[in-house]
Amino acid sequence: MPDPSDLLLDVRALGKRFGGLVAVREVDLAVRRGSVHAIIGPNGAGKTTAFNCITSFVKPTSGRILLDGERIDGLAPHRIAAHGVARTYQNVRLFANMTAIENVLVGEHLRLRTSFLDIVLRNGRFHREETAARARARDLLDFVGIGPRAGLLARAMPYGDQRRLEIARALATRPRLLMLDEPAAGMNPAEGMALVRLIERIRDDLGVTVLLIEHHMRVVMAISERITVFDRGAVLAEGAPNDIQNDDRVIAAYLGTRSTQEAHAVKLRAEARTA
Amino acid sequence: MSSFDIVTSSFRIHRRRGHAVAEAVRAGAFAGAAAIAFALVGAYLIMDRRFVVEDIITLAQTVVLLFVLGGGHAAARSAARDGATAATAIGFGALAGLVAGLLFAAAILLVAHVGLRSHLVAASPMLVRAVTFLGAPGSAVAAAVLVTAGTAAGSVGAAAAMLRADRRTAVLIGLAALLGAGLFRDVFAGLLHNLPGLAALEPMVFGVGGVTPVAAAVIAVGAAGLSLVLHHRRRPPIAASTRRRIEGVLLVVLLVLVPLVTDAFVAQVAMLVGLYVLMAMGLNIELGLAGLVDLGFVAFFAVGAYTMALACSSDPRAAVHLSFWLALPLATTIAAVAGLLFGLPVLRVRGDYLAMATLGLGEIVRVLVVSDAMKPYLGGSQGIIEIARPSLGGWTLDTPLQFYFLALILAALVGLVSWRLQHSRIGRAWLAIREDEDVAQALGIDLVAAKLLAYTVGAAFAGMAGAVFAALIGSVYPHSFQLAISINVLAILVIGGLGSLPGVVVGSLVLIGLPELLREFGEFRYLFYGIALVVTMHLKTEGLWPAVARQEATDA
Repeated sequence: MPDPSDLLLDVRALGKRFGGLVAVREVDLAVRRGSVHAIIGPNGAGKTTAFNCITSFVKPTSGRILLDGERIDGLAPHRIAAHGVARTYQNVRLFANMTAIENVLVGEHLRLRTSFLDIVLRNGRFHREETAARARARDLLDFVGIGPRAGLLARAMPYGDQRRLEIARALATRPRLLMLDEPAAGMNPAEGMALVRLIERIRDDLGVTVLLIEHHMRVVMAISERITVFDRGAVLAEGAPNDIQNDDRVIAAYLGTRSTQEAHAVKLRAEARTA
Repeated sequence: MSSFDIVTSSFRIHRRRGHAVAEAVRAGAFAGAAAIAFALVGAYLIMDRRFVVEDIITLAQTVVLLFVLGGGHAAARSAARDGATAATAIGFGALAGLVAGLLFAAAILLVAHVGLRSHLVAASPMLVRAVTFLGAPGSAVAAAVLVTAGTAAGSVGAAAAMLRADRRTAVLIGLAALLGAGLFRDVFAGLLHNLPGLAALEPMVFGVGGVTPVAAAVIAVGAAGLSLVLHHRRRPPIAASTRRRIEGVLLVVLLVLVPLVTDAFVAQVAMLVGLYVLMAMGLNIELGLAGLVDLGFVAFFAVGAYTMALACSSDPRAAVHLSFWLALPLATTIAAVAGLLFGLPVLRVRGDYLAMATLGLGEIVRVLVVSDAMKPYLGGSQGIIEIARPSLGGWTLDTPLQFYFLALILAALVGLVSWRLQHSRIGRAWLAIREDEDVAQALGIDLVAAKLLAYTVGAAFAGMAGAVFAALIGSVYPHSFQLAISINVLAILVIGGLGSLPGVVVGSLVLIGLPELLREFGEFRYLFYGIALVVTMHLKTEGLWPAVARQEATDA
């Protein structure tokens, strides 16, 4: 067990129930500061629900979420962002009718301080802050590699650039923890490896801790220091990439999904008969 | 599969086989039916009094021909899609025109010789006369002329469809210019009359009811030619931003000059348009930028108007006696506070529910104002009268034209504030909320605060419009603050283009200005209004002057 002060994100006994459906149960997740941590697992394992709980998109039914030792569960989503948690989405969710740079500037909203009056008067303070914000936004677009497309409408951009733009927008909030929901989805192997390099630079150059959900095993194995495996709403295993690759339960969950489901169903029927 | 699906799918199969003849007959029948429908609701009776071209063609006849023209156009296009040659396509257009002409002529003969009046009030001898081009009304000759004219119009419409896009646009613009000149004869005649040096032109261009034949030719050919020239001389293409700037300057020049040189009636219409521009700029903040549907917007207009009334009236109910110039910021502020107070309970609901909640709030305000409970303070249905006119150093604003310029200056100010807000962190936050509320919040935007701000600013602008309105009319009554105003403002935004400031102006001109200028057509102007709305939303789904981002996206 790592030293608690090393942990940036500490999720304890997280549970989320939608009506009768238990999406997440008793999940513990410890993300070390400065690491890249991956969550993997079959579809419907509760990975995105856990993400949504951490960012307060949905309210957890039980458990605690600590960021740097401070409880953040139950806060409004914009307060979570102010605490330094930013995320991207499984299906890219950009502001489609705004340009790339405007998307990033929205991300900078938290850091901008000009008042209503400054804006209406367009005084020196407004111009200084706006210029600085635009310069930072351009830097971020350059950082993710889409600098030349700053003026393009988000919806007019190619899919790969949209994914990068979404990361730039999240980084504009200057997060401590960046949460990526399937960043490599729809990418070919070369694009996947470019993404790996980008994530490494986010960790090393910007000092941002990264928590990601990912299905592409090459990407996961290449960058993750630790991997947490979800299955049916619970944590199945946790460990370093090598341990996870050789874990029998993980292999069963991935390869034998069908047969384990059937086994489960048989067991349920047997229980129903005895009841 | 529902029976409806079966019908539509069989229709599609039918189309694919390319029965161009059936298509042409259908287009012609549709055009004929539309022309007959217009006849039977009595629209031509009113349009008969007006010439488009003096002594040659009346508005009623023009509209009949336009229907047929449209039918021929549609038939030719569908034939061309199925691979017909130009000549064949024009032939199908003529066929459509023939069908439409036959239907219409038959209907008119029926009206002339069979007494339909007991069932259809408009089926009168006047109608027969209104749509007779040549010959004795109701005679076989007149019917033959109608059929011939229909065939010709159908062919012309089809021929236009076969032209290259730029030429087709030119023809369309030429026709539109002619129709516009004839329809708004009074406005343009007044304009010419009052422009120094051009007064001599007026009798040459305009007859009593419409454009003179020579001027008609000059206008139509000139407009078409200009369109072609403009289309082709873009060798060094003008940058989009420069073009937009030129268009913007032109718009401002028109807004200043036209009411100045036309008559008092136009000034009054312009004043009304100015008030709607102010209000629409307010709703543009709420709906256009932040995406908040507000059907109770008129409430803030009312708050501003009543504040002005209670601050500037000689009525004993008036709380204070301020000058207009102090009461205006006061009314704006109080409307803003009202926006804040209303926003608190309703802004937590989303989308359709927000529309319902604001609708309720708007009605609550109206009912409160007419109620007996508030009568000692707000005057109930008798309202408050004798509101002082604004004066500046002994000079009192009292003509509509002066109020128009007041509204124009305020609109410019409000437009500037809107533009600056839009291009700032606040405006970006609003746009982000409109685009995706959840994502905006996850990026650190406080939804409630941002929405409240949008609501407050929008309410302030509407309150300002209400205050000017109260000072202009000199009195306020609850019945001035109907739901229809909220709906009108909403329609202005949609037609002009959501989130677009020039769109607000264009939308107000089209939706408020045009119906006023078409007042001579009585209730029928709403028919044109409705048709214009439907056609606009079909052809320009983003509005007449879309916001930059959306426009670029559609250009790309």
